[in-house]
Amino acid sequence: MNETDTDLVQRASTGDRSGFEELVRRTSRLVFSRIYLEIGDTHKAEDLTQETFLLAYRSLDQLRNPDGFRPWLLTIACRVVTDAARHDLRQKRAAPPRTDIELRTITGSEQQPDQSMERNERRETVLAVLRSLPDEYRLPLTLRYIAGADYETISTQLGLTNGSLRGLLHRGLKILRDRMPNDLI
Amino acid sequence: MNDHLWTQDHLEAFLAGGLDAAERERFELHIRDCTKCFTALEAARAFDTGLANLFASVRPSPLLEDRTVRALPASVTVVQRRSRIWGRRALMGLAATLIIGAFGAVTSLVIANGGLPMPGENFVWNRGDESETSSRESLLERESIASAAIATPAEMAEQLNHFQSKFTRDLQSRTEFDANRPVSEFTTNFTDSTATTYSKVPQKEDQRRKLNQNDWMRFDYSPPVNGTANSLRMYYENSNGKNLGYAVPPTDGAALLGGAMGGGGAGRGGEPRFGNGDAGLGAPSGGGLGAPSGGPGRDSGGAPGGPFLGAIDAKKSGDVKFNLGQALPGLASSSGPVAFGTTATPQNSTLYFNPSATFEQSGQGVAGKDQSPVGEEAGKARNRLSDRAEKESAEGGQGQPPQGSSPQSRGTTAAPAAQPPAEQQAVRKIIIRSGDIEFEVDSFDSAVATVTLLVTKIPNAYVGTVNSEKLANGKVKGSIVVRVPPDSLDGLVLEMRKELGKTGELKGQRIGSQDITKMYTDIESRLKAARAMETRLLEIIKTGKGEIKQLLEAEKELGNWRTKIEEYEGEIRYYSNLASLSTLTITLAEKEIRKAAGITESERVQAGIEVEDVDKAFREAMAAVLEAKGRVTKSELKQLAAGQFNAILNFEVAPDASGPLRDRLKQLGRVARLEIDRVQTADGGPPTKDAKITRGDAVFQVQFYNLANVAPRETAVVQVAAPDVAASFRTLRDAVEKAKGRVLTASVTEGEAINVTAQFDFEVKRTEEAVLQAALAASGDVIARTISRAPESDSVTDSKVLFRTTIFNAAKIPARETVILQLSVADIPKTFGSLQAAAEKAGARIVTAQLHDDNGNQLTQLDFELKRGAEAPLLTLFDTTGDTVYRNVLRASENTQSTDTKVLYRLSLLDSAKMQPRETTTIQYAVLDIPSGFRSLKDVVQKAKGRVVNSQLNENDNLNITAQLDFEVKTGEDAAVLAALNADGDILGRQTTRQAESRLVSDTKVLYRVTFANANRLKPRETTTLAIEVSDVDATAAVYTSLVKEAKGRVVDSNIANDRSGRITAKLIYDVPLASAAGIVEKAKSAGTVRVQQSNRDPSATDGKFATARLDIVISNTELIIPKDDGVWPQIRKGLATSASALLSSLSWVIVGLCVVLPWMVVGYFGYRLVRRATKRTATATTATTTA
Repeated sequence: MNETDTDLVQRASTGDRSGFEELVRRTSRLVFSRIYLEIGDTHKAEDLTQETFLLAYRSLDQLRNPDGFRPWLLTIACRVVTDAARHDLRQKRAAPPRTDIELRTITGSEQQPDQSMERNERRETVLAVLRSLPDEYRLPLTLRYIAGADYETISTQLGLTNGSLRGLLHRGLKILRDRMPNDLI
Repeated sequence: MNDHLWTQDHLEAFLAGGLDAAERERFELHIRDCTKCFTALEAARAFDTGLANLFASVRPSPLLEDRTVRALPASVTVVQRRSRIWGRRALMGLAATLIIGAFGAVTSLVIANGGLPMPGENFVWNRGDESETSSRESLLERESIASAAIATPAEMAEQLNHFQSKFTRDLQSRTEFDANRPVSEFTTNFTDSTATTYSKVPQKEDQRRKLNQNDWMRFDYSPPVNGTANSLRMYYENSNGKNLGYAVPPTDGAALLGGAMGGGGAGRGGEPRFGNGDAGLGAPSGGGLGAPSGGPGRDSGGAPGGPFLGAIDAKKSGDVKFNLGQALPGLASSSGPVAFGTTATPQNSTLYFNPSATFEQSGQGVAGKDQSPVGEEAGKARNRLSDRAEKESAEGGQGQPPQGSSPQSRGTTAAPAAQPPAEQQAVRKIIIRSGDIEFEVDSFDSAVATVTLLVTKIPNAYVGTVNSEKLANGKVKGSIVVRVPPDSLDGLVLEMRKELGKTGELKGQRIGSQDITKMYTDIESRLKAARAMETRLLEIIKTGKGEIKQLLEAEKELGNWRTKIEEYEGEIRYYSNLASLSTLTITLAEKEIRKAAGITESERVQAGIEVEDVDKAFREAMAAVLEAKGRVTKSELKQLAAGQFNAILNFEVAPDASGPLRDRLKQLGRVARLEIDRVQTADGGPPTKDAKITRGDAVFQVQFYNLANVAPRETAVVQVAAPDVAASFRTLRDAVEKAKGRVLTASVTEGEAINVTAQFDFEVKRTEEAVLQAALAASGDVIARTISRAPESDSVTDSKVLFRTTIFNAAKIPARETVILQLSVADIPKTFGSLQAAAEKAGARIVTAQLHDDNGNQLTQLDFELKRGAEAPLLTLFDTTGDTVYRNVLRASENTQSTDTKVLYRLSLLDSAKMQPRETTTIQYAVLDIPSGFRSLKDVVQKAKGRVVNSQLNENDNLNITAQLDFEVKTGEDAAVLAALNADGDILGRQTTRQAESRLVSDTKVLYRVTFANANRLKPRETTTLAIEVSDVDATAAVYTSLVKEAKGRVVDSNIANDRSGRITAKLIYDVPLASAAGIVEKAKSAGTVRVQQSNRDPSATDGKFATARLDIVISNTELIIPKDDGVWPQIRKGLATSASALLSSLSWVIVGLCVVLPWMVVGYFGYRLVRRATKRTATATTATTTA
């Protein structure tokens, strides 16, 4: 934790795997949050997160400015999401989806289907509100609630100082609450 | 900021745990006091918790980081991995290609070798092989059978299963067979066992092989099979079994058994079908054994089985059948029908086909022991059968055995087996035996005696009839009819063969027998019926009941029946007689029965005699015949209209007088035709070698005729060319008269001298022919002679020759050789006259003489014919008078009417001056002085007797004098002219053309066209450009000029320029002889510093003795007032030049970049994009795997 992101990026770009690993630990939840916001599916988001880091690791030498690692990473994530969507579309067109029907038919142990459905709807609503937030507020909130990160993790993931995060959280939540339908939570 | 506001702002941070200890304390302190803040906190907390709970289930796993880290590639670079992937893919592709290719190759090889039969092939083969299979078999079955041919054991079992199940179906559809439990049980079992697993197949196969062996024991006719062929055999057996199985229509048990045994086929036909188990075997066989007494094979289904097995039995020896037939009665009487039923075991069924002894033993031995269910079934059936049979026999009455009423059972060879087991049956066999035997013997009488002796030895035998006939040649033939008891017939035949075989030879033998048992028995039956009727009627009459009318009717009926009884008794007696004594007809013929009695040989002479006086010769011949005591059978003498006599004389003389009479006839005239035939006539039968030959009278048929109207056989058509036709005609006529020839036609057509022809046809004797030939040759020139001989016949004679002579004027015949000549002469009229005179002098016949003179254009034609051999003086004359321009000797082909004794000359004369030379030489001629050279050449031409055609000298322009001289010289004289040309000047170019050969050109002279050119104006051969820097330009120029003059060179141009800059430039142009050019150049170069030296040679310029070199020398002084390259302008120019060159270089690089580098860059970029996409996908896949 002593090293800054910039140092880690420099280390990683010289071929040091441990440096990149540290970077992964610092930014993976951020990437996850970003991707989850886009697609709304945990498993898939995890997969795409992995893919994003793979891509990033492979093309780390293309990163000119080590300070801009996070934006760069998020750009890659965006691209990965787009590619995945395109790929899915193609798959859908080409062949019937390799369905997870068997999995679906197994009765969930935790919730009743109607409850689950209701939750899903609510989640979708929250996500829609979250997506409508400005980017600066959106990411901390996503990290907080979707990635389940604590305060320190959020600041680590976002690479923010304590004060700025507090402000962001405060204002973000305020907007969120305002925009959220009353009876949702 | 007060606490309240601060708290409001940090609600979220507090909830998220983002406050440090001090801040938290501050926050909590405020919260405790401030209700508003507390409420806000609670609301925020609720919201926070709600959101957190809402997304709790979708949160990423805590291991997200670890998993992501694990998914990262360790140390393997992407490129390597990609290449490895691609390598692996390529390897797999290669392997797949190899495997597919190898598989395809192997398959095609197998198919090509016929190892993998196509379904169609098998189908055809199968159909050909199974012509007897039932039409009920569907195509599908055939195909499945075909596949059985290559089947592995497993497949074989499958096939078996297929058939079995089919049979089972068929079986189950028949209720009768359902009763036969063991059969159906077995079938079901078998089907089940094969259906459940194929692993039992070997076992099944063993079982089947055993069964096949059983079958083989029964069917001796069938070839033993082994090994893989077993499967096929299995099929066939099944097929047979199926056919026969269908054949058994068990309407009831008795019918089944009767069909089985009575047909002899149905029972066994069932075997292969049920023969898959021992239990099954018993049923039909056992039943079959019980059948004989009943066998009411009313079944229609017995039919298919019956013939089939009948055929088998026919192939077998008949022993088995007969033995069985004999054995059965015994068995039937001893053990009874029930015993048969119970002894229905496989052993029994096997022994069914064995000799009777075995059968009886085993039948008795096994009887009652084997109480198999089948046996019981069959036994029951047997009971039913026997009951029925007894009923039937009761109806038949009189102990008449019940005949097998099944037509199949009686009709086939299985009939003996179906005979009822009654002893009378042996007596009932009524057979008529008869025979013919033919012998060739030495003596008929002794043979008859031998036969009689043999017959009398046999009791009850007698000689019935003896016929004999004596033939013309003394041989006897005849026949003996002998009646003997049938038992002794064979013995008699053997004896007779032995006895008569000693002296004679057996020619043929036929012993036949006719079984009339049925007919006999029928008649007997009818007789019995009739007798019964008679008895009944008698009873009626005796009792006398009824009315009179009825009694009368009974009497009448009785009469009818008695007549019938008589008829039947007569027939029975007749058959009894025939059957009791066999008839043997012995035909005897003595050897060489067709020998001829004798041979008569007679001579027949046919002659045609040419005589002068027919009447006289005829009379003389008659006299000669009478003298030889011959008998004239025909004589005829005729005179025909044209004075032709013809006489025919036919007569017969004694054979000895034939030769002298022939000689006598030859003396009468020329024997033109003589045929002597000797004919031998045999008197009855074919002639033998040692037959006696008697000579008959010789028959003569002679024809006399004179030659008056007989055409000669040979005709000579002669064409004679004579200078004087009339004279030749006379000579010939005298010759014919002298030779006493007969003139047929003689005509002379006199016209103008050349058209006189004569036709003279005459006949002369063959002896005078040579004389006439000589006369013909003397009369003129024989041009054509055709001798034709008619084919030999009665109407032509060879004793005279016909000449058809045509004489015509010799001048009319064209000469065979024609010489066409053209002479070129100086004076045509004069030469024409002299030639014509010379021709006439040489005795030529002038055909055409023409001289046409039209204003100097003279046309001449002189045609004359000259005797061959006289042309020599004329030929020499031709050579001396002029040149022979054209000569053509034509010889006509040999078969045209032409003569070789003379030659036709067609002569034409040409003016020699008008002939064009064939060869023209055009010469470019260079001389220093054209006029003098022109004149000297003209002199040379005149000296060589050449003819100047064109001469032209143009001296108008002194500098440019031109001349042209065309002249002709004789071919031999042109050398002198050429030598003169070479001496005075130089021939620059020479071109010789030869025209195509034609009549108007002559090879005797040559035309020269000489064009003169000035030697000084020739193009320089070599041009040398020199630029020399010297110190003193003027002096050096003077030196150069003097050098050139010295070498006899010419100063063309000399120009010295003084520049303002002090530069002096002299431009000097010299022409010097080529030989001295090199020396001058060397000298010139030594005068200063050579700046430029350049030398070209002009190959088109002359290289001869007038060849020149041009020196183009620029002399300049070395020191200038201003240095050359100084000044502003040169520098600017230099800079501009450098810039331009640099610009051009960069332009070229730009073009290279656009056209070469840019495309490659584009290609590389797209390649990179592709590769990146591929690797990305691979990476994703790997990640997924790792995560999983």
